[in-house]
Amino acid sequence: MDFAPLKVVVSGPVGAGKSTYIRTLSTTTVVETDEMATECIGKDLTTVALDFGTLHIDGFEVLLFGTPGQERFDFMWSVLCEGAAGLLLLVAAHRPGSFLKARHILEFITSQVPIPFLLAVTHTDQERVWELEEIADFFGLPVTDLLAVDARDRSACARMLHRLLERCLPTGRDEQSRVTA
Amino acid sequence: MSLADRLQSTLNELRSALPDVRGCLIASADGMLIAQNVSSGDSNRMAAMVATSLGLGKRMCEAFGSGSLSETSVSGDAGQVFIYGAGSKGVLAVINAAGGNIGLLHLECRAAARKVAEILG
Ligand SMILES: Nc1nc2c(ncn2[C@@H]2O[C@H](COP(=O)(O)OP(=O)(O)OP(=O)(O)O)[C@@H](O)[C@H]2O)c(=O)[nH]1
Ligand SMILES: [Mg+2]
Repeated sequence: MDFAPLKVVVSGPVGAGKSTYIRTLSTTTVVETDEMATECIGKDLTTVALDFGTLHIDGFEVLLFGTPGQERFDFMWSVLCEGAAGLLLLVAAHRPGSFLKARHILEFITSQVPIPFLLAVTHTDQERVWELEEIADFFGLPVTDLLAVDARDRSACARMLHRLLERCLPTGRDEQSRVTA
Repeated sequence: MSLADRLQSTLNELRSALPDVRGCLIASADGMLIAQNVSSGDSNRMAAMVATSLGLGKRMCEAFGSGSLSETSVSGDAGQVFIYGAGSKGVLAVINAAGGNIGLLHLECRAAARKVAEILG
């Protein structure tokens, strides 16, 4: 039984780990558009257009589309969100200064396309991090909407995606095929 | 002359050589505006968009076996935007109204892009 590929958008502020997440999970060569960063952002490269990768999980082909994190590329959010089934919003636990930007991205995308989302909290291994409960409070979300994930850890990334897919397809794969049959 | 002045005069010369052009700007490869001579519109936003287009174009060239990107363009019914790589660090964009001599435009712009690449180092 063939299912249409599911499009998942990976967004969030600079340095949250969007490009890393897609690189970690994709089983095909990723399209990445990182360029040398002019400003000091704590890393050398920054995404200017998109990241793209694919994988198979839970019987689905998933297409991962990553957005740039810099606000000046905000026009890419709506471009990349078209037709998306779900959203992973990555936020770095050690960068509370970026939470407001993250909330802005979340509100923008979910107002354009009301899709299920999860907050992926990265960098929880760093020093002076916010706890998941505190971050949930900041976003006004139940803590069940948040999950700690290291974007470099394949199984953690896959778990996160699995959790999101459960939300995208609450009835499950079999139910869905019965409905469309 | 400072770096910024040299880039600015490159743009100013380009506009006097191409009077029909509606504007031109130089951005860094990561979308920061470096210099501009545009008559209207948000040049910061244009700089980011131009870098997005160039960044994607570069990867398309790789994926399609077209070598390393030299330029890309976007056309609408009221004009075009021509985007030229300027070394590894920069990008030159020229906003053209519909019509005009595109051959001459490319000639001038490619020379300007080489100059920008040289200045940016
Ligand atoms: N210590 C630690 N490092 C992480 C974790 N997750 C990601 N990283 C690192 O953080 C950096 C994230 O960089 P990118 O993946 O380029 O971030 P991005 O979100 O794509 O950034 P922009 O494209 O600039 O918006 C990389 O160096 C990752 O290796 C984590 O959980 N812990
Ligand atoms: Mg990135």
